[in-house]
Amino acid sequence: MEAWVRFSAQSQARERLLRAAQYACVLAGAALSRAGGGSGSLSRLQHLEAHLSLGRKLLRLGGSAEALGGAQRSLHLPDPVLRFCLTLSHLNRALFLACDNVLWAGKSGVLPGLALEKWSQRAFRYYLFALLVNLSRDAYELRLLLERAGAAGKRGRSPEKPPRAEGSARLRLQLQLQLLLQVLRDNPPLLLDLLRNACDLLIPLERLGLCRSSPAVVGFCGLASSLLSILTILHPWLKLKP
Amino acid sequence: MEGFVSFTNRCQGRDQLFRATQYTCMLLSYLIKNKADKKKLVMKLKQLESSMSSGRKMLRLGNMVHALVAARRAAEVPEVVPCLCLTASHVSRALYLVCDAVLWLRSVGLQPHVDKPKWHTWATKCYYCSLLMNLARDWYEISWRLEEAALEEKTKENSVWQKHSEELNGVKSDGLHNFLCQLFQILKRNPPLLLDLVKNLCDLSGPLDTLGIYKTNPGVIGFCGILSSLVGILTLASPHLKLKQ
Repeated sequence: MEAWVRFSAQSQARERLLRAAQYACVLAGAALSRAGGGSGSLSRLQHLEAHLSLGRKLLRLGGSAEALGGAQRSLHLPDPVLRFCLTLSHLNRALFLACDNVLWAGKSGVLPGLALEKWSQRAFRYYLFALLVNLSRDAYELRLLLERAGAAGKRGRSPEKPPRAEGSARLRLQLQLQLLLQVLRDNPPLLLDLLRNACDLLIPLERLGLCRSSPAVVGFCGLASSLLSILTILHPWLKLKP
Repeated sequence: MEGFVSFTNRCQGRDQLFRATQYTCMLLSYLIKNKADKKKLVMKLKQLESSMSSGRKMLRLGNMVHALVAARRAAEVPEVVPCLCLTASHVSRALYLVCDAVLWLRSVGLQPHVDKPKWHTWATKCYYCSLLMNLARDWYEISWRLEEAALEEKTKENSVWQKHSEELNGVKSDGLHNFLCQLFQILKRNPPLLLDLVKNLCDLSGPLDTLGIYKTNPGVIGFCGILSSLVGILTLASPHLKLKQ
């Protein structure tokens, strides 16, 4: 019980729980409609999902300040690629949260004449760009680790053995994949960050009409990424630093 | 900005800000409701107030566990009166949060058959009980400090010369005036106690009105709500101002 108190005292943790609940509703709604569920239950799930979404928007009010703080901190990173990626990611997140705050004002009735669809598209564009930058950062980290692992592997191998000619391309690919899996297994924070960003990517792609997918897939990806976020909050060592 | 971020990172900080906003909207809409040209603004204020209220209900889900953990901790307080008062207060608050969660389920459509007025009355009664327990604890803290101050006064007055001089001057100490002075001194020397007392008294206006014990108006409830939220924000921003439990 004490653990729950400590966990839920953080705004981010609550927001992630609400997100998990929201995407669970989307998934449950998709499963129900496939199983031929009643329109009453479906509309209740949709109503609940809308409430959870609005509640999350309320919780995110003022979140741009935190994102700008993150951008300011990442300006001091020594590695230029990380500096660029993280600063850009935080800035896009700040813009996404600003649009999100405006959407909250529109949906809650404070700004009744707001063009909700336009602002929603804007928000999802910034969110998509932030995710793409995050994935570039993950790819860069992965490349560095692969190079390091590859160099360590070459040092360990005997220099006199000649490489076999036939099937060497397939063997090389297999070795690379094995190395990739090894690197990801040895670096859980990077693996979790990669999975989370990959799952999250589907949501803006679907909402912006760039990729067609079913509500079940969106719900599953949203739920998976929320659970991975909750995992990194519960175990801070699993969070990719910086 | 760092201060704002670290304050709002805690759910309580955000909740107090939303609460302050909710009661500000209540007060403002009461003040301008009779002005003909401000009808749109009044509607927006009421919408904002309602969003804040329903959003806060959602964010409170799960807080009954917080209240039960606090009740368990309060049960270990060594002094009898604060132990009883605080434990009862936290248990009442846990019950209030359970009723609040049921009301949320109804508002969201998951339990449409819930009797809203009944559960709302129960929630208000539990909250009212919790406030009374908090005030009882505040009164205990004040009363032992008053006794201590009175004892100090008595030891000072025990000199014969002073008794004699009082008889000569015919000065009689005014009981109520003395009591109020001492109360003022105690509260001035104990800011956490003063803030806790102010917060609990302000919070009382809402349930007193809802339960029909002392009817006021949304303006008074709004003003008291703002004041208690500001005290809440102050005690979160400066933890040394929070009355130790």
